[in-house]
Amino acid sequence: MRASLQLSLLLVPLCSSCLLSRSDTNEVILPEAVAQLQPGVHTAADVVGVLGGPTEVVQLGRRSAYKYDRRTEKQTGLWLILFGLRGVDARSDRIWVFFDEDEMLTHVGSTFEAKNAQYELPLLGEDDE
Amino acid sequence: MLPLALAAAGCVSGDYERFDIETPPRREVIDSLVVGESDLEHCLAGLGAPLFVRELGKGAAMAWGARRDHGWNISASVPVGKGFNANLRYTSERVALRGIVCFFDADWKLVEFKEGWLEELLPIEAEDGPARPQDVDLLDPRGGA
Repeated sequence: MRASLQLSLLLVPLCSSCLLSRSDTNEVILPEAVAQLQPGVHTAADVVGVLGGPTEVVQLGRRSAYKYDRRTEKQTGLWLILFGLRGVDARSDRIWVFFDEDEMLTHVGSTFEAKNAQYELPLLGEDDE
Repeated sequence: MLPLALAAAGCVSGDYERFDIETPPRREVIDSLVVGESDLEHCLAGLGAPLFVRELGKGAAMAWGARRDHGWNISASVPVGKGFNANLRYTSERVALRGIVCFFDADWKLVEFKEGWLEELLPIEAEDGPARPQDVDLLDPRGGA
């Protein structure tokens, strides 16, 4: 029994593995570039000139909205013999710009959270809120 | 020793996972919304850029949300015959975004808002439209919100 226990303990480090990964999707969105955009002043062409091509275009009747986003995802994992732990944290920098029927900019909504993605291993029993 | 042997042989495995996807909308901003008074500018200023924007009649629906959950994945593989295995998998997670959907009229006035699972609240898009919350693989950056 004691020998098998010792053998098991020896196997632990051989069977364990860990993971740290990061993935970034799309180009960085600069807050100062977004701050340049003025509703009632700039047009869709101006916005594309500053931010580039959008990742999504939504038609809203005769109006439209463009989406720009940059996503950062960080994963942390630890696998032992009996079970594994994995944490995923994904945040985005995201811009929505809205245009009227004349393609004049009317609204800008921005969120900059990609930098807040963290490597974090989950703790058992941790609250999800 | 039996559980150890089973696990080492790959018969049984368990993962505890936690997902933090996006940032939840702030409660104080949601509480400040007033139907008929709040407008798109107020929502964008308080909630930031929405995750989803959908055309809805002459107005639009927009969603803000996040996924915050944790749970177990248990997998078991049992040989049931020569060359055949039975695979069982249990998961306690719900792969979905929870948050708020705001509905605006043609003048960008807030006409209604609802809180809950976004996949249940957002209007259904045409098949060739943008990705819906339930279609988005939250772990796939190419399809991510």
